[in-house]
Amino acid sequence: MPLSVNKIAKNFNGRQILSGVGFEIHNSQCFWLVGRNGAGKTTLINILADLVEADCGSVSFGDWTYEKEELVIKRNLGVLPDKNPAIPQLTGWEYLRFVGLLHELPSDECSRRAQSLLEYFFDETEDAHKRIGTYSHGMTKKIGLCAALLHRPRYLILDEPFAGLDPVSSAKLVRFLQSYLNEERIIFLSSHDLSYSQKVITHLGILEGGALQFVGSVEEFAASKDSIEESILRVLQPKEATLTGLEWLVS
Amino acid sequence: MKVVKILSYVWQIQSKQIVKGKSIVSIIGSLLFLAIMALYGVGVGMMFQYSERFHFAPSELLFFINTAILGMTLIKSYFPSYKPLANPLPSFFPVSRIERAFVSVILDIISPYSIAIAVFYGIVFSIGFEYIAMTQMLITVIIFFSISLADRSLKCLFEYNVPFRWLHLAIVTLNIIGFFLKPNLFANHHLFVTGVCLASLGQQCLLAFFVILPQTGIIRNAPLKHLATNDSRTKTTYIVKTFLRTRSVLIVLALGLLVQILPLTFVATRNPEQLRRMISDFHFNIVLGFVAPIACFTYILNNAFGLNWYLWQTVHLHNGTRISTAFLYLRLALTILTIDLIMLLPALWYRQILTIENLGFWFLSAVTMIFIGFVLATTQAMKIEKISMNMMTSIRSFSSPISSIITLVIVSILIFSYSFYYALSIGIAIIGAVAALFISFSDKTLKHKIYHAIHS
Repeated sequence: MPLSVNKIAKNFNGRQILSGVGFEIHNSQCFWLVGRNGAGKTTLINILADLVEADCGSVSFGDWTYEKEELVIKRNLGVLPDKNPAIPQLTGWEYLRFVGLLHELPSDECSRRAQSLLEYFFDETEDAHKRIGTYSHGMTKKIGLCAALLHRPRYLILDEPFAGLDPVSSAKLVRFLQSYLNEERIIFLSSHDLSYSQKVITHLGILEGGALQFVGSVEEFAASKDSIEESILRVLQPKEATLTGLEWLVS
Repeated sequence: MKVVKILSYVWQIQSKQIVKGKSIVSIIGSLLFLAIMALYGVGVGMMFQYSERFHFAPSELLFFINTAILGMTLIKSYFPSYKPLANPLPSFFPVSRIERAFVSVILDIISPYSIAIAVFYGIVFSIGFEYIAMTQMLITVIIFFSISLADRSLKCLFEYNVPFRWLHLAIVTLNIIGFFLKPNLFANHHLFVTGVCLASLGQQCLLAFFVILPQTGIIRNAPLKHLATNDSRTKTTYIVKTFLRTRSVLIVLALGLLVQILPLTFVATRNPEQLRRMISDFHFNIVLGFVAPIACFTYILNNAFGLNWYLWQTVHLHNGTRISTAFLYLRLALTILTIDLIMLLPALWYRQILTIENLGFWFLSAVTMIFIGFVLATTQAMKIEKISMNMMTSIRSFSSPISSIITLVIVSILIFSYSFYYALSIGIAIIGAVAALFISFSDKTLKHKIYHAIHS
């Protein structure tokens, strides 16, 4: 059941954010989307999660499309958006129970899953029974992760999952993602954190100027002796930054 | 069935939260809020009984009350205690659009705020039953329902990426304007109000159906957007420009001026003799009504200097001092006072009550309101919800005890001096005093603690 993106284009206020983006992710692959700030990564993720409608192109999850099997897809989809829309008035525990209701999980099963997720992702000092509105950035991210995983999704889409997480939590997340990936699942990851991401990913796509500059496996990408970081910089070809104009600051 | 389960779960959680994890002080504070609403209800109910002495018909009084509720409903989004959920079900959850729309609207409509207003109207109608026709009561409920929907629409439009946003905004604006024009333009206003309500409901359903995502890049926080384009040469002009271009500031300023319509309509429909007698008999000066926009603006000034991170950080991280903040505050305050005076003077002149005494009264009231904001804004770097009306309608506060007490004293003086019904004002003041004490002990959230730690 591959995740297929076919010639997606999106325009905001006359500005072309995405133009003709297409790729395919197969089972047991962890796809890493990387690019500069404002390259269109979050917009693409929002389109994949049905949060934003594309101007043209299509997204399909195997044979399922949002036009025909919207609810079937969403039952198999776990999403952690960059701005986690958790309800601040609820506690973390209550929110997970609420998400369980949306996925129609039996109450006991939902509690059991929520408990084990919280035990894994939350530290002893972090209280999941406080209101989400009082959570730190990292805790909010973790509760979003737990909510995205509660129903054991086949397709997992994570937007900046490492942002705001401390090193211990990031390492835990890496270990979890490595274990979660199997022959029936797909992980789609967008992150600027190379050090953690490269421990999980199998494939990557480099988005630049609304179009994919590279799509392929990590092996294909890093075929040369360059590191992944150097290879990415080679593809993105950033303008050489000189400190000439900043002499007043650095001198 | 799934929708029922979702709604019952959320309501069950909300009802638990009334007491869960809260101190006795906080629970009593919530009860106090209901008591204040009930007290207001008694006061307004009695106004119906004495409406002849005030020289207005019950239907007119009802119109003014509804308009006040309208203003409060639209402004309440700025009170953290009354933030609507707006869109609790992002579209990546397996819930159909219709179910999502239904749940979102129902959760927002049936809120603690609506319950408080229901208590208020319930008491008003019980006491003034003989003076208010059944159809008027029904229309009032419909109007409140309609305005609550309009309020929700505005929130969705400002915070979410909604297709056809300008069309929705136009419908909401027409709804609000239509409400103001209703008594003058339409003979059969019952039909009109019902039509407005139905249109609002239809539009709301459409909106809830379409709402998909918060902030996709089109809608950005105004201050951030304008920091990049603001090319002012001096710090003050830079901050003033940023401040006045802030979306939330402009919205509340517009609402404040909209509230101005209330006293303007009142003055325009009385003859000079009635107005003079009302002022002398009841110690209720209509000029007080013109202070409402100033109150609104005082609130947003506090907000802007409190939790508006961009502006606050700009001022304080760039070598801003309290003195410079205070001067800036005064300049902004003078701007709004001038606008208010421009609207006030022709109205007073038109009804031949343009006297030194009335102008003095306006000046005293306006300066009092500005003074409250001035003291609060320069003594603490936290979000402040407490000024006059807010003091009475929102118990949950993050103000410091000293600021709360200062506010209370100033507002009490204002109420005692000019209230038209002494017994009521004494009651409000006593409850306000108790509320201020509770406010000083109320819990602060982690966010505010961190914020305070950073800026202390």
